[in-house]
Formats: sequence, structure tokens, C-alpha cells
Amino acid sequence: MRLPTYDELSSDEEQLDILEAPLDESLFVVGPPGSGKTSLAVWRGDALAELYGTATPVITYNRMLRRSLYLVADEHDIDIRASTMQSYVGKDYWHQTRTMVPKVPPHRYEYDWNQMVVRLAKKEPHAEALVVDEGQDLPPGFFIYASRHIAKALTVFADEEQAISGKRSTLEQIKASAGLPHPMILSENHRNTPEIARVAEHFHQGQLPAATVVRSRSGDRPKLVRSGSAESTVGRIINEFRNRSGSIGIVVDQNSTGRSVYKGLVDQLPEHRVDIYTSDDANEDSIDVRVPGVTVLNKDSVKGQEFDTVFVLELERFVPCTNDAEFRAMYMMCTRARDRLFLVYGRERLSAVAEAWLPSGDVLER
Amino acid sequence: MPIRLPQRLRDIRTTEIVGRVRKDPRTCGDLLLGVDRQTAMNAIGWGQAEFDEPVGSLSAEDRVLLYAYWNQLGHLEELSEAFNQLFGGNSPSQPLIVVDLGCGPFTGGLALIGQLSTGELFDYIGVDRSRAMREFGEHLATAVDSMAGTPRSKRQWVADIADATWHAPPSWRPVVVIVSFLLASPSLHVGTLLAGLEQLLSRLTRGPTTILYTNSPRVAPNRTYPAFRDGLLDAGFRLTADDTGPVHTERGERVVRYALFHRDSQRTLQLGGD
Ligand SMILES: C[S@@+](CC[C@H](N)C(=O)[O-])C[C@H]1O[C@@H](n2cnc3c(N)ncnc32)[C@H](O)[C@@H]1O
Repeated sequence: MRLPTYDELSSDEEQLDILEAPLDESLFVVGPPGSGKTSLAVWRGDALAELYGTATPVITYNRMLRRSLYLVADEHDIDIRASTMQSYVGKDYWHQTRTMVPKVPPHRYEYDWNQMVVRLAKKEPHAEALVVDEGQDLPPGFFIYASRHIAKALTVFADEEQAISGKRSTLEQIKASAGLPHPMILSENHRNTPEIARVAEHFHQGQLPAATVVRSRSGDRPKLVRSGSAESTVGRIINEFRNRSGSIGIVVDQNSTGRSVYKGLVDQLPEHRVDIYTSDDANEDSIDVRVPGVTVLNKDSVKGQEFDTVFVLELERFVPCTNDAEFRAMYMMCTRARDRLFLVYGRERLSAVAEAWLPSGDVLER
Repeated sequence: MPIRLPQRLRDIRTTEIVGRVRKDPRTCGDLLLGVDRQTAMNAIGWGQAEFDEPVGSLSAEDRVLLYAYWNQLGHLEELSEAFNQLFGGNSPSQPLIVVDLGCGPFTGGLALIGQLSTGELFDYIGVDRSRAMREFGEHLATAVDSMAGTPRSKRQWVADIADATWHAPPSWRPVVVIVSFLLASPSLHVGTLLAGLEQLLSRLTRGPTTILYTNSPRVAPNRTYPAFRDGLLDAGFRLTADDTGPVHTERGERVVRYALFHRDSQRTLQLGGD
């Protein structure tokens, strides 16, 4: 009897399959948190830049993500042009029409994609390639615009499960709007410990199975913590930082909570990096979340980031989840943590409903 | 190197099969459970009988025990050799789900337990139309469970593949399907078997699936193999081994008809609307 070994049978090199996909064709990739989408977006951008001799535009949803793309690229000395969708399209439309992007009244930010596409009806794409990260958070109109008027071949990375913005696209909408092939699947989670992944899976929904966790168990179960005041929360965070160092992410629902925690941290950790990011301050370029220290963000800006330890504060405002968007937000926030995760609720006790609704004690330590 | 069953499997066989046959009050010299070898062979119909009916003086349980006594060891050795070649030294990174079609008395499960490393856990779905076979399978499995340092199996036994229960949503876990000495069964319809298997697989996993086929080298028992193979190829499996060849055991050489099919994890998500 002569059989191949199991290793020979299974060609499970999913990241390689994506790196080797033809560069002159559109590519659609779906993957869960920690599957390496951002790195793959950067590498694909690099390969395209080499092919076409010009820095590849890589588009993302918000400014913190643009910053992460930049940091990943910088680390590997890769030349990409990372932009937020809002800013890239604003400039692109200006170049093509010499007019400002039309907005849907009464909004200041919502682009009127229909009008834009009509205006550019006779114009062909001007670029060879465009790479989009976190595509699920961009509106379908963007994908129509991008495929008709920006680039001949689009590469889109998406995770339908993490979508947080109200204008999100489903995978079907992305595919149809951008004229993409069926998405290739990334199925491995290289970021979270199995313990953290189990808590996140509690909030998992979607068409694909929860990711396969590649890391081995750490023995550190995520913890549900009550903290009655901002001071005690700050105390806990400082303790964690003193004991473990590393990068810590603090996720809040309300920016006011973020600011009071931030003040407490700055006062007590004068010799260390402590940052708070808000979209109003637009201070992302001064933040390097990889450097040991603490970063305070809200649930919108924490998207796509990762930290050694994450504290999700104001848990009572996030659970129990009552709709898809709330499930996705919890899932996304929990998966930001590499090694340790704390879910912190405040002044008021958690309602019995919320308590019973969270993962059980063997998954989420009480 | 001849394949050697791990000591704990030998011990199980000694106490639960050979010992039971020997200690039976009807056993006397060459008459095991009161029948000679030819009668026993007829009663177990070379493994393809309807095991739940009594035959002559033999109850359903007697016939299953005689099957285990006369036939199981060879199958156990062949499957052990196969799993040794497949997983020797390197088990899949996630816990296996095993579907054993026409499982008999846990033969495939025992072979796998002998080749996986200690402490590993796998799910086992044993499908066999014979209640007596399933019950004796569970009996052997429980005996293995009571031994320290063996891989653990989480088992269910069903008469029909459609009866398997699986409450977890599909995952990416690897599935191994064992089809050992089943295809000769006159009651088996290959199309129905494959449809049932595909239906079950879709409930279990989006991950890789490996199908191990073993059978007698004789032509007749393999007569439905071409339909089985073609059905799997149509379902996206590739054939990675397909041969007849020897398995070396301590008792000598056994020739076995074998094949191995494999299908990778789902790599693209088929979205609606196209
Ligand atoms: C020769 S035994 C093989 C048992 C085991 N796989 C082994 O290798 O030792 C065949 C088994 O298939 C079962 N069987 C036969 N036809 C079947 C069918 N149509 N569906 C389910 N099981 C069947 C029989 O009850 C019997 O236990």
C-alpha cells in the first residue's frame, strides 16, 4: 500500500494563492479578522507598482486604516499610495471634471454617486489598478465609480462581518457593482489566541464558517470586569501596562469617556506613549499603535487595528446586541486583541439579560 | 516495516473479542461459539450479511462477535497502515471529523486511535445498518476510552447517513471518510450513498475532505467501485491513489484493494446573482 501523506494532500497555502493571482485581472478576496488582508493588500499593491512602474493607490475606509496601511508599507519599504476613499475620490473627481464632488443634500459627506457616474459616462478608467481594503465599509456607488472611471482592474479585500458603517455594501453588492469574480476565501486567523477567538465567535454571523485559529492556546481567558469609575478603569489599564508592557487599545463608545480615560492615563504614565484618536482631531499621523503604549479609540476608528491587549469599555452600551450591526461591532472589537481581552462595564451593573447573553464563564471569565 | 498494532489495541482485542469467544460456554476446541469455521464464515457472509438476524444457533450478537474474531483484525491492520502513511508523525492541525461508512464494530475508529497522538480528540460518526454492529462498536470504543493515554473520540452511531445529527454550523475542520469493505454489500446503492455523503459533508465542513477506500482484492466485491470513483470525481474529488497492493503485517502479507480521494477546502465563495 502506498498513500501520500496528509501534508502532501492538503495544499493549504491560501495567502500564496492570493499573492499569485494574475495582476492584470480583478481580484476579490474575503477574509476574517487576522487573516492578513491588510498585508496582502500592501503586497499586491507592491507587485502592481512593479508591473506598472507607478505607486499603486490603496483605498481604505477611514484615516486610522490609511495610517496602518502606511505603517505596514513603510515597515517593508513598499511604495503604495494609501488614501481614504473620501479623499481619493474627491481628488480623482476633481482631476477628471474640474468640479467638486456633488453631495446628496443635506449631507456634507455623502457623495452623489449617480450624478458622478452620469457626468463621467464617456470616460474610461485612467489607471491600471486600484486596491481596496475593508471594502465592506464602502458604498456600492464607490465600486461602480471605481470600476468604470478609476481603474481597469480592481482588487478588493472585504470582510462582510466587520462592516460597521451605515453605508456598507454586502459582498453581493461589491461583486455586482465592481464587476468582480466570486471572492477567494481566506479562512485562517493568525492574530487572536484561541481563547479570544472563542469570545469573538459568540458574535459571529455570516455565510462562512468562523476562521480556523492558527495560534495555540495561551491559557489567558478573556475577562468580564466591572469598574465603577473612570479612576478604577485607568488603574486597571495602568496595571496591565506595567505588568505586560506591549500595545494596549482602549475602545469606547462615547468620545467623552475616551477623553476622561485618556487624561487619567496621561497623568499617570508621563514617561510612556499615550494617544487618543478622534476623527475631529485628525491626528492619526502622529500615532504609531505598534509602539508600546496605550491608544484610545472609538468603535469606528478601531476597525482594522490590532493590539496586544484590548479593553472594550462601556460594554453596557454594546450588549445585548439586538441587530446585525451590533453583533458585527462586538465581533470586530473583540478580534482587535492579539493576546488579552477585557470587556469592561461601568457604573451600572449589567442587566441580567446582558449578563446571561454574554459567553458563558468557561469562555469569558467573570 | 510491518505494521504493528499498538499494544492497547491488542489488549482490547484480547479481552473484548478473543477472550469473550474463548470463554463462551459453547466454545469447545475448534468450535467457536459452538460452530466450526465454515459455519461461522457462512453466518457472517464474509461480512456482507444482514447482521441483525439470528442464523441457526447464532444470535445477531454472536455473529458480530465472530465477525470481529475472524475478519476485523485484517481490516484493522490495513486501515492502520493507511493512517500511518497518511498521518504518521503529522496529524492535521485541527480536530478531525471521521465518517465511517459501513463502520462495523468501530474498525476505522480503532485504527485511527492507534495512529493519532495521545490526547487528540476527534468526532466519529459511525454509519452501519446493523444495530448489533453499532452496539458492539460502542462497546469496543468504551473499552478504549477507559485506557489512559489514548486519543478520545466523540461518537454517534446511526443506521442511515441521513440520521447523523450535527448541531454546530459548518466549520473548516478536516473530514476523513472511511469506506472499508462496504462496497460489496448487495444492499448498497452507490448513488444514494454518495448523495447522502455529500449532504452530510455540507453540514459538517467547508474544509478538506479525504476518503479512504479499502476492499478485498477480488473483482466481485469491487464491482461498484467504478461508479463510486466516478461519482466522487464528479463531486470535485481528486484521486490520489488507486491500486491493489500488499500490507505487511506481523502475521504475513495481506493484499488489499485501496484508493484515496481528496477534495480541498472551499476556496471561493459562490455569491448569488450570477
Ligand atoms: C464487511 S463489514 C465492514 C466493517 C468495517 N468497515 C470493517 O472494515 O471492519 C460491512 C459492514 O457494512 C454494513 N453495511 C452493509 N450494507 C450497508 C448499507 N447499505 N448501509 C450501511 N451499512 C451497511 C454491514 O452491516 C457491515 O457491518
